[in-house]
Amino acid sequence: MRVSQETLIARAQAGDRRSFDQLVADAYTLVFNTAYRVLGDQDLAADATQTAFVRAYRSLTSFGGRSSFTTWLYRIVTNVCLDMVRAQRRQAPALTALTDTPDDRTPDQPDERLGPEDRLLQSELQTAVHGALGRLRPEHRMVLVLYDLAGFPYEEIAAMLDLPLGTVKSRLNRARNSLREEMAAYWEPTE
Amino acid sequence: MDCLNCQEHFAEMLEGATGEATVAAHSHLAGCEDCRRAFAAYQRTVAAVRDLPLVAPPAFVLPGIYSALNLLTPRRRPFVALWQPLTAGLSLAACLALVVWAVVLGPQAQFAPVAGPGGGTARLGANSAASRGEAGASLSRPGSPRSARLRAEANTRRLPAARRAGARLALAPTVPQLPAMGNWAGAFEPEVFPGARTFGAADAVVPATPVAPAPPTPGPIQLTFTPPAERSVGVPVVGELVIDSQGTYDATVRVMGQRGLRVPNAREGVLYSGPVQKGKPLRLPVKLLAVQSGTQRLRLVVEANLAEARTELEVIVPGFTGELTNAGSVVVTLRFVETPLRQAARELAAASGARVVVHEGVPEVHITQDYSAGVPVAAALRVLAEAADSRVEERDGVFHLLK
Repeated sequence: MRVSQETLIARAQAGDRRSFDQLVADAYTLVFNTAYRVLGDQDLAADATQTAFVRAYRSLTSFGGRSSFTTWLYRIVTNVCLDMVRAQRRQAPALTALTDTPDDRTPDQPDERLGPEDRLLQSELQTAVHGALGRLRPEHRMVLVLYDLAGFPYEEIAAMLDLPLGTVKSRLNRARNSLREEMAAYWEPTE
Repeated sequence: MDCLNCQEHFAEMLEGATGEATVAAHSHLAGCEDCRRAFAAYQRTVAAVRDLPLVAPPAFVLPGIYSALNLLTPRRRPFVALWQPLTAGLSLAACLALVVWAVVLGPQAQFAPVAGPGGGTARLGANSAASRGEAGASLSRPGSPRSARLRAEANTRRLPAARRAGARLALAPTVPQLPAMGNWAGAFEPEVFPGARTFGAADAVVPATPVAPAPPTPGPIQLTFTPPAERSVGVPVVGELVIDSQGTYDATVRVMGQRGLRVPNAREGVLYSGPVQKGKPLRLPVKLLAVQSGTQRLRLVVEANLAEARTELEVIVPGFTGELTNAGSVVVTLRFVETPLRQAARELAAASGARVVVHEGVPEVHITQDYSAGVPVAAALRVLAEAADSRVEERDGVFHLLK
């Protein structure tokens, strides 16, 4: 039988590595995806995922249950990602744009209902969105990824990023509007 | 309101907020072609972002994380490796000094009292002790480094069991810090120290690990949620919650779909209220209706008549695809008994994800209707409007109740 997350956390805090491994196994796909959409590169995302879980493990005893474990974990993930973005900026500003193309990615749920042509269009759209994400300001991109992709509510994003609720909302709206403008050419032909 | 202001409210408009500013933004939108285009593009953009697929992490990621975690605790060993030669060197130096002292100064020192820094005393027959090779053992006295190390070793043997009990332990103040820490590293299983990497003064006192309270009696509750395989926006689907309890309780199961996820078979958030029995897993269908694409979240809470048995499960359900082609076609299953119209409209909006604006002048009549068999939200709103002698208009996916 599957053990609840609370039990796993309690056991991990008491020193049970296997329980922490289970928490990692449960969360790493979404953590990786969040990092990937923020950093735009699978290798960087893999580094960020590993670093985030190592930091989480080191500070596990400081998790007191004031927020949900997921919020606490993502607070670490967002910090790691933003640190990496800052490091990228220092080293080579051009790298802040997303570099991966989705060609070699494997969606976990390919949309089997679409025909070949529609799949091609869907793939093109995804490439365009992925590229446009990379041209957003990192702090805007982060909010957009957490809200629209990871599915966190405003309050939890505010807690993760240490931002007022209003700032989260305004950053999300700006991010979406910037993305809309980035993709304007893509939308125009259909209008 | 100008175009710029209107565009600042796009997010709220998309979420169906009914605040004054959002209503004003809707009004602006109705008369501004540019903003209508912009809002349509905004909606498409958001849908496109939410439709981005989950990427399968490369195969090396998970083993890489585990390897990195494995490396954490063994970092102590280099310190031990550094310390052990040092202690060995000190011991050798002490032995040499003793031999020199016994040979050169022996006659004068015979039977001389030795006062230890810790206040203890010992009488030492140096010549005979040295000749029997027992000098080291004879030097163990309270306060000496060697006896301190031995005591530290004795302490470490008691620590693991005490730590398992969540105790806060401290070494005796006379014990030198470094040898003790060196011994701790050898005495504990690595997983006893999640998160500790290096030695320092703070490590002299074992940090109290915040161990979660023991499972409550008469028994813990475990929750397992199986999400639906089919995940399309606007299509009601069914997941399953299994409650497996090691105790017997009267329990209330609350379910909260967050943001774009509704749970139509939960009445005011309550999915089930009744007994939960030991050894009899309770299987509850959880109807889900996503009104937005992308990853959705669900929080399940079991509240029992023993407060400690409260159990929560946070579920992330990724991969809802598609979009609502017609907000009015979403089926709702609600029951209103003498419910004020505006509250009924709010509940319909919440259950369906439809955006509903009740305008001034619509009277606050009370509604009694049973939609528990399921009815499209547009039809339910029409019934509401008729009851209030009003009308419903759908503009840009927003339902307006107007006098």
